[in-house]
Amino acid sequence: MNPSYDDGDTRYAYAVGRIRTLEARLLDGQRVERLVEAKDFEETFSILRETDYGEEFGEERVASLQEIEQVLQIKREGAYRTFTELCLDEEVRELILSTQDYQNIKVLIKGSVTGEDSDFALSQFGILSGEKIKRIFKEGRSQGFSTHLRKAVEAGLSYDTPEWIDIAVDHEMFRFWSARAKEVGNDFILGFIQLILDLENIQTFFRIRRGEGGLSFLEKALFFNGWGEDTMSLHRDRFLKAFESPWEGISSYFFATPYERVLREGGEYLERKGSFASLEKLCDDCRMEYLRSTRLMTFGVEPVIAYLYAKENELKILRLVFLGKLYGITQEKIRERLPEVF
Amino acid sequence: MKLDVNPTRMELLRLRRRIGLARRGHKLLKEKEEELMRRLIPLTKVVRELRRRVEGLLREAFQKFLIARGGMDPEVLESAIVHSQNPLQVEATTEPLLNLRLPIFRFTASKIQDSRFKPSYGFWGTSGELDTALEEYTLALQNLIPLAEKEKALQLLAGELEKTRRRVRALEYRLIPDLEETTRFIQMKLSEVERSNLTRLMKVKDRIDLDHRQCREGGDQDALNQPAHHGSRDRPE
Repeated sequence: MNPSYDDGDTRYAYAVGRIRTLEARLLDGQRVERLVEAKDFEETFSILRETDYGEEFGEERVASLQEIEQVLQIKREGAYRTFTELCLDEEVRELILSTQDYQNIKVLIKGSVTGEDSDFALSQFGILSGEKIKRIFKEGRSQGFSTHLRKAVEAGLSYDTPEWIDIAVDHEMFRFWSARAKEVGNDFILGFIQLILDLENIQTFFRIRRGEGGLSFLEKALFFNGWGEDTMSLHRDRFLKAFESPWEGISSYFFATPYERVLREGGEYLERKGSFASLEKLCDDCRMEYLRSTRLMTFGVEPVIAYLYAKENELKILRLVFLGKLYGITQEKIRERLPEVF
Repeated sequence: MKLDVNPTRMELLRLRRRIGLARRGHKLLKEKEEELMRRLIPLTKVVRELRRRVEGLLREAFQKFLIARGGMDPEVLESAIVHSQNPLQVEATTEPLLNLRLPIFRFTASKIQDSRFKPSYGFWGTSGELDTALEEYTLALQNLIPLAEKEKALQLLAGELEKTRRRVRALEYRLIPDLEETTRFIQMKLSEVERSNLTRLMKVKDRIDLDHRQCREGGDQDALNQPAHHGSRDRPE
């Protein structure tokens, strides 16, 4: 990819400038705290009146959860539009947005296998629109897909149960991600994909350990290690060895890795309260911490990527707060799951 | 309240038969009421306990589901849930009790019976909290079907008990007293007729005795053979 990111990609001068303005409009920790402490639904609206959401939530035109979801979806759409507009490298754009295409592939394959119409679950934020991807899939023109999506379709269609279709397509997605990240050669992106992979494996590890399926299922479900032992990435063997261990001993298998705290605290909370809230929050926080490093970058695609994920994180925070206020979830419970802001 | 009937011996016999029948019916219904009550009280306790458990499980599941929903993209959540491979089939039969048919619900083809719920979705993008929420819902469902069965049975038993109690009361406080009152009335009426007949016969006898006495006092043997004045028209000259 040219020019090299490390040299300071001045093509992104405008993009980074714009991103900095948008970043300033993101909700800060103090405001999120006020939102959590708001005594009712109306108070959250009045707090949001002072923010970027003032237009939508300010005049209390939004009353139901469905309307809130619509507003959040519009904001999400805006973030993806901004990303598409500001990301000048097609390879990076394809890499980041491909997750939505893979999601659509999963929906379509599962729909064709189970016979359930689930077109409403198609995402519109991918490289290919939901409609287009559906048309290509229904017509059986797999050559209409790019090579990596074609592989995912083939992998997904070789299974007949939804969970295995998901797992097969997700594995293809990570294969594509790791290959593309290496191709792009950007350390930030490589590190980010590695982080996502590790965090996903950690969550999968705890979910399978708690549920059924056992070690053989874990072996198949864990994402492959695309970088090997020479990197900081967690090798799947660690998970396999730690699987039978009591929860107190699990973190010792991950000693001196960046995820030791996630595993220790998240695992303890899961064991004590039977909830994944803390583990998921810690994973989200890890992602945000990594993305925060882009704040010091003056040029390059990194701040553009970070903004997209920061906005997604913010929408997650808002969704949690609104759901909490609407259905009377206690502040404590909301806080347990609420990720840190960017 | 007295029934509007003719005070005849036939009616009296008919009413006595009705009283016997009503008393037998009352006894049977009273026994049925007691049996219904005997079954209703423990069932109420079972239903109360089950409902408390189900409500607790549903509350917990709902909270977990909301947390999972908040942490997931809407389209990922929808696609995870819509393709569930855990179909639920419930067979509904009935069991006779007294004159009722109480429902019996049984899981026939469902993974719900398993102690652990296996999600029908992959791990990427989905929340672990969704797994626990669905597990809680599964647990709630395991209790929800028996609750539906028991609540319906309770409803039917309570309805039947109310009906039976109404019938018992109607027999006890209305029909049987009315029949008894009517029987008493007919008995009194018949006694009165009996007494009036007796009085009439006594009067006739007195009259005949009087005529005989007069004849004897007049010493006239012929007069003795003479018919009584009032019977002269019946005898030939």
